[in-house]
Amino acid sequence: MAKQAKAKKEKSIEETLWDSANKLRGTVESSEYKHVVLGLIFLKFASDKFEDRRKELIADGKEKFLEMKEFYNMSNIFYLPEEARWSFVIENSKQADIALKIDTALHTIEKNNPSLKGALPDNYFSRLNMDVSKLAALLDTINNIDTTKDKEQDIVGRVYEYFLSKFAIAEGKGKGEFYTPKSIVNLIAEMIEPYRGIIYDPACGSGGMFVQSIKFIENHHGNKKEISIYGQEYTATTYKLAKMNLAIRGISANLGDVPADTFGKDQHPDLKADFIMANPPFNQKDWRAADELTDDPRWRGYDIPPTSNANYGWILNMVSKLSENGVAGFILANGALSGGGTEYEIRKKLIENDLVEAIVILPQNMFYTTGISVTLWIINKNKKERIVQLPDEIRNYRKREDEILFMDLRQKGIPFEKKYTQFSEKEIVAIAKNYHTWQTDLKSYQNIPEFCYGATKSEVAAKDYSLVPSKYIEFVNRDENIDYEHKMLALQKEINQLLQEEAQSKEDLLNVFKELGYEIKL
Amino acid sequence: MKSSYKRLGDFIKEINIKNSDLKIKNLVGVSIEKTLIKSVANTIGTDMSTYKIIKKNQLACKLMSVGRDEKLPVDLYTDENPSIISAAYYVFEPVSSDILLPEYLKMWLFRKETDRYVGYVSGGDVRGGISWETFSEMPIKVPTIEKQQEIIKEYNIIQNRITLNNQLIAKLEETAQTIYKQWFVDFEFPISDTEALEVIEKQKGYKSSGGKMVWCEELDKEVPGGWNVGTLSELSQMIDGDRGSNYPNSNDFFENEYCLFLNASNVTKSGFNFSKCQFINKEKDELLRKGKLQINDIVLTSRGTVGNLAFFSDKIRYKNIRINSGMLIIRPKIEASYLFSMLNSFEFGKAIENYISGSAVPQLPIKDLSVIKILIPNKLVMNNFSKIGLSLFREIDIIKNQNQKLEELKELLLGRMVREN
Repeated sequence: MAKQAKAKKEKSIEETLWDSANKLRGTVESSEYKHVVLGLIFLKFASDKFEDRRKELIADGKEKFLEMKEFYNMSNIFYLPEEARWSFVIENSKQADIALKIDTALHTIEKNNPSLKGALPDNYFSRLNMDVSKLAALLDTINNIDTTKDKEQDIVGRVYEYFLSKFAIAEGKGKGEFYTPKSIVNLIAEMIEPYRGIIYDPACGSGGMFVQSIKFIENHHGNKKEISIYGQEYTATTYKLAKMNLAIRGISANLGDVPADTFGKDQHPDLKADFIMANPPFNQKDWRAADELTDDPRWRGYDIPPTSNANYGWILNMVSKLSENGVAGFILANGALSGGGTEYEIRKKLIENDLVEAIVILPQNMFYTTGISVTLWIINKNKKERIVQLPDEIRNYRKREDEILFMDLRQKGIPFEKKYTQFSEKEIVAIAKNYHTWQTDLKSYQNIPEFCYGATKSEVAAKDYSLVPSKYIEFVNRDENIDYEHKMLALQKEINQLLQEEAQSKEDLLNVFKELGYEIKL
Repeated sequence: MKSSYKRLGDFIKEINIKNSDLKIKNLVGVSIEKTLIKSVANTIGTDMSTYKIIKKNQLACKLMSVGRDEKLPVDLYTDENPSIISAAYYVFEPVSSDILLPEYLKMWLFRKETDRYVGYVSGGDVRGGISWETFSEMPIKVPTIEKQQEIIKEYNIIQNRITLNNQLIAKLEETAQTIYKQWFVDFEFPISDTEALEVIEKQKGYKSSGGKMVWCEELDKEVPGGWNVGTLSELSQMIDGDRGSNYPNSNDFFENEYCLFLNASNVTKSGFNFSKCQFINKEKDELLRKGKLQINDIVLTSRGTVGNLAFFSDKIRYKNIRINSGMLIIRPKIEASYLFSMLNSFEFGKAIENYISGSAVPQLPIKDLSVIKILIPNKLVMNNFSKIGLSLFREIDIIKNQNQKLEELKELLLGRMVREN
């Protein structure tokens, strides 16, 4: 016990929690156990907020409203009946039927709070048949998190985010697709600035894009109430993760009635979004059968995306859902920049229709699922001159019709968790600033070799509509800039000295051989 | 880029001759260090008829992962007998060697900027490869044949000197080990004048001349009379690096700074190698406690690759050096060059094999090392050996320094190719 207490001091609460959650490994399938841990954390956080509000009501002398849902819901807090409260779960944590009690608690919360419909694990804990003592130990650890201690710090969000990213890293290749690394999401938000209106993510995973949009608005002194969120997610368990992730932060969102395939069962067919942020699965094969979705309204005006790769399906899905002034920032595998056949035809049309605003190539090893370098596309429906009032800034967009900005970030980024790369906050600010300068003030903007280039549509047409940034951004042959004279003089001096030293040492060496009786004659 | 560049594709042609009749057996590949090597790939059950044939004056390169590696594996094939190479390679040659010499082409592709260029243009591919078409778009400068010959000649003079130096280093190391064995394993060291009175023939070594030998219990063998035995911990101070909270992480390393922080690649089987170095700044260096080298210190790798040794002579050009967590410093209390030669000997190599522990990563714990027994020769013999040893080790270090500078000169010469017209 003493040992444990010592360890706690050095670790953050996220780490402590992660370590104890890890103890569950082995007893539960690793891809399942994130739902166990995150489900319980949700219960704890929802409960803490509830208790807080309850105290508040008592302090205000409103005891008689203590059991009325409305008095909780009005401050964005879930109402929890007795059997759904954390205190109740903890009291019973050593009982044999604790799993059942947790399921009941989660079920009761969902039933009492319409906004959580479909969000919480459903009869999950009793089905898993977990070891009661291990579950009790996990409950104890979670019980130690003080979620209300520091309101400014958003502990709830931090723990959730930490866990999502840790689970994504742990699951690694092929899995972990529910999570987009934070610094990429940050970069997209800082570039497209989703401050007001409808935000949409057609492959929303655990909802990270939305969380970051809200943070963006908070950081820039905007009003959260001025946005509404729409998303869709195919995997049922991930859909629940997203709902919990958003609910816990008090973000309301429409993720569609059910988890569903964005192509086959579009949950928001008439949506017109002002901002789209997305990280759809890379190079998805067989996303539709050859005779499926051939007459979908989302492809109208374009060729039908090939069955072999969904990349252009995602692009057209997003393009079709943009409002008049809508902007989309999304991540795709690099292959989409220069794909041939139907992909070429669609890309050509997108460029001719003047929708592509920027192409940003990212460093390798940013994703936990794959090491490949990927591209951030920015599609903008309105590249005309216009003025936009952001919460704490005004953007005077210049007319940028028939222009595309290319950026190469492959040499940027800092190491993260040993194997991975992420952008520092400073870098994100600088990259976004470069983009905004190009959008607003061409006089201050500069093409920088191996970093950025503002191209015209005719230049892109001349390269046969390839969007590979290195075809436009200048490469500098550093050999041309070597100070040959200077380096040569330095080498002359150094080699001169070395040869002199060597002459002396050679003499010594010859002496040694001579003294040993094996004289060397040159 | 400036307009005097030409398109590489206009000067080369791809050669694609398959080994259909299976006549050629010798299989080669190109390493990431741009060297053609005999392939060690497992080819059991592989259809070798799909392999390509490569002949003298042709080049081979692999374009598959140039984005990920930022290196172009390429080399010129110079052997009279053809070999085969996997179909993952492109084999090519100059369209006309009256216009572009194969050797000059090789030098162009050896430039560091070529590596950077192929990495740069790889952005359109999922796996970071480039196509033959993209490769052909590479800019190149092709001066007159005379000028090409001149540049090749300069390059080869430097390259030959480097090769010669490397051979010399190997020979000097061998010399040190040969003398060590003769003196301290076979005990045939030269006899001093005082001892000569007691023996019959001075021309032979000590033992053959009838020098006095006594049984040594601790080493379980005969040793010269008057010599002693000590443990490694008695004859040296063994120092671990600072592995505390100040141990540098990836943010603390720089390309060139105050203190060289050794990594595994710096301590090789043949001593120090400084071709890839990382440094920490003075501030960080001052925060770290033990683990800094002094002249005559010996570095021993003790984790992962175990048993590599390096000697810090006064000719090493870095003055501030620290070991990492996979190494030990052995600070001699007796003649350093004797102790170093002893640790470098075949016998010692065998001895430490017994001590290697650690299930996943081999380790050499200090406690095991410190009890290893070492023969201590009398002062005179040790001093005599030290004189020889030091002069050999210093010569080696000087030549290594020279090679480093010659490598720089070579780089500069390659970089200068862009100035030709």
